[in-house]
Amino acid sequence: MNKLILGRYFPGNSFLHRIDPRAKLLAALYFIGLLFFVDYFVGFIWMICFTLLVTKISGVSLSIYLKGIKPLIWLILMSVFFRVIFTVGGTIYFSKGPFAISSYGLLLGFFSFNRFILIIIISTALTLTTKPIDLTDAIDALLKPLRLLGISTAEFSLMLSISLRFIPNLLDETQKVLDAQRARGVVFGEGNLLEQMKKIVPLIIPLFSSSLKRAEEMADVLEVRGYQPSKKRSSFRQLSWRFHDTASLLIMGVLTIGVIILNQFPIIEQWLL
Amino acid sequence: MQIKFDQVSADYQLGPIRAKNIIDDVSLQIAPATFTAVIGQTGAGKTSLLKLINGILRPTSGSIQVGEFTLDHSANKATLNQVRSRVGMVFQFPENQLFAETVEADIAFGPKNFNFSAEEVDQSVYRSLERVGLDQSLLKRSPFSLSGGQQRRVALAGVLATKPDILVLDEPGAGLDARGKQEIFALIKKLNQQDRVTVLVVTHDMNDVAIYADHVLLLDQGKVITYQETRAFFSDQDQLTEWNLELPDTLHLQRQIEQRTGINFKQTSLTRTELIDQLIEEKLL
Repeated sequence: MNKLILGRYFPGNSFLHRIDPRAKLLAALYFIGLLFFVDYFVGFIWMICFTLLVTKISGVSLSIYLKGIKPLIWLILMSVFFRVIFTVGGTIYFSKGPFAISSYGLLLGFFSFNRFILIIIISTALTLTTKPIDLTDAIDALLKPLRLLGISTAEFSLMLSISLRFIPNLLDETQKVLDAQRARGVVFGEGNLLEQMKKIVPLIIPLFSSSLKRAEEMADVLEVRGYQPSKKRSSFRQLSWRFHDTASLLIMGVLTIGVIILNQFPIIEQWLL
Repeated sequence: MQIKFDQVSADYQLGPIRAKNIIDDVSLQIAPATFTAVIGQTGAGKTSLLKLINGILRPTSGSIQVGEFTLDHSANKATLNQVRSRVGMVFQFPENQLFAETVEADIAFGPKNFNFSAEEVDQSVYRSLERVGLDQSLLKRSPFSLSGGQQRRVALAGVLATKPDILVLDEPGAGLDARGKQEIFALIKKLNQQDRVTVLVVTHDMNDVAIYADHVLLLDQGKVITYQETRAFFSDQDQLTEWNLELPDTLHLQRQIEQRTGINFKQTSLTRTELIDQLIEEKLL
């Protein structure tokens, strides 16, 4: 539980921390989209270099990012594995029935491996350098166009910010219940799968019960104070868009141009296939 | 059982945040069958000290002797679990740990985990329910359908059911009304006197300390400031002022009477009866 890096905020004052969350969110989403338009090996080198630069700027050591990848690594390796054995092309090294290991398959496997890793690193960089509450504000701002269609985005972003706000409380509470049940003789992380699943019950039920209780109290408090999310309201935290925010979006443009140019040069591919 | 701290230090970890030396080089010996009140400001390390005794928190250095068991940095899971079967811990707001479908199942949870036989489980469930003063008709009810005070008692019964030799409690009276709190403390005192259970209670109420505890342990920033008998502790007015501690109500009254009349009482009175006795003795009543 303490090992989960994705979604955690590291306080700091790097350039990345100071960029407007809206710009950061847009840029991160754009980057992830852009990854799917990279066709060749050199393009990936270009994207990797950019990602490494971002991690450097964030002021958080690379090892933290790698820790963020760790819990997902088996999932990634498995999907890469399937990509490799189901893709045929170029030189075939080994084949059996519908499965084959070919140079083209290996290359595509490498590409999707890279995409996964880069997506994780970039989204980790986003959450590491942006307060959850700022992120919700950004999501709220980006959803604003939907209001024209009559969809109430305020409720959605309130929901989001409340749930983000209570993650630390929930972690705290989990630890307490964990300790309390340990004191009553539960040894967590022992026994076979079924036994371990059974041990989760005394952990989950108190958490459910207290979360429901809190949600109800919260709803009461909101009502008592006359809160209505559908009304137009001002915001306590004001986001201000500055020059370096525009600049950081322009960097995305530069990145795109780089990808377009590098997509003309299948250098490694020509040599391999 | 005796508890002995030998140069114990411990860190507190919550998520990525690590508080260093929340317990800082503590050496301490707590005699069997004593009733110790643990006091100190928020963050003094009171809860951590209790957790150390129960093996929920492992020391970074030093060792804790609980009966025949030794807890240190490398204590294995089996030892920890054995210690936990001898040490009952009641956390703050223990009603938050209730989970089972019936009160009976919830109380039986601890004994079952510590491998009590089916008969022993039944026996201890009934006994501890009686101990906490709840009716047997509640056994088949869902713990979530009970009132807050009743839930607190069920949770307490769940800990007592494991028949601990040492009982550590973190503010057992918090959030209860005056009467409920008094009942809980009276119950703990009874366990201490009749079953010779060693008790450590974290509390902020000096009245509880004066009335129930025979020893006081004052912590500050992870260090033991003092550990002494309750009467001696409250007798030294200069020290109390220096530590910025409030007086129990009876003692506060005694000091005021002493000030107004100019008579110094022979003894520090901790309970109302003691105060009345002294008033009579000094012919003020």
